[in-house]
Amino acid sequence: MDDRNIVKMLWNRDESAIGIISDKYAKYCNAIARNITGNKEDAEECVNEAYQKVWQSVPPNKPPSLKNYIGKITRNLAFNMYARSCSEKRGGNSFDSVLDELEECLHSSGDDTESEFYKKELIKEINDFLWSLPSDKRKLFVSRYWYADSMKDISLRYGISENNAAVSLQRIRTKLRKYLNERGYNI
Amino acid sequence: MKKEDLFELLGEIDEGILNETGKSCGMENKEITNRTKITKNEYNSDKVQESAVETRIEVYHHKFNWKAIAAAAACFVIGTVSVTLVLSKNNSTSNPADNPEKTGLINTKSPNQTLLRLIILQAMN
Repeated sequence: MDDRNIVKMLWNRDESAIGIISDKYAKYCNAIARNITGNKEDAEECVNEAYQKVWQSVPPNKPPSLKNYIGKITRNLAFNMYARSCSEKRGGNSFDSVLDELEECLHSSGDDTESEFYKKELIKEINDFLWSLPSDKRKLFVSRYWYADSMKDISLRYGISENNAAVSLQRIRTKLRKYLNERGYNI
Repeated sequence: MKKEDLFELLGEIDEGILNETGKSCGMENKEITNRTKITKNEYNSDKVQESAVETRIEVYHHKFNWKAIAAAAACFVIGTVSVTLVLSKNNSTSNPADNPEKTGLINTKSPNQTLLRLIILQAMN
């Protein structure tokens, strides 16, 4: 079923919409959640919670892309669960390496400015940077730092070696850091 | 900013960028491997082999233009026959005096007789 119709069903408070969403996006959401939590049970919990969040937030929201909307919710929930498990010292999955890589983009003596305005401006700059990249590099970056895909998955998907993917990602991170520094963002 | 904050922030990247990355993203490794396996099985199956043969035959038919080949062969045959006919006609109409050795007019053993015969032939002409 078309996403627009599913959103319509949600607006009409039709509970069968959740079943349709589950049929359509369960695999997609599970993959995102599992990439981040590194655990099947936690991932399933996140996905079920994501369905609930969608039910609660649509309406008033009217997402243009239901896939991206539910993907974002799942990503946030999975990340919260990961953070909780880290604080309980249950961490130690492959997602740690994703975060460690992202640390390379950060300035060691970075500002701790965390206002909403600052974050909005920063994400705008990051978006501009990503749009300036060639399409294949952009996809690589999103696969790794949005979907938290493993290097193995990325190498399989794009037909490149894991080493090649790692080198490309490292170059993108260096570029991003330089790009943000040039624009006065010492994150 | 902490690395965790940056990861969270990246969650807000443009939907256009997310859409571009496509459906395959966020897929589990198992699914990708299974997809490869299915492709291999499909390749080994008789159906695919048959269809590959059919495709090859189709390509073969498309590659060779039988009309052009037939026309070229006809041209070759006509050309060969006409050249043969012209040559044979030339041989039959040629004067024996033009090639005395072949016609036996020249006796290489007695040059005087030969000379005489040639003179007679010239006179007759």
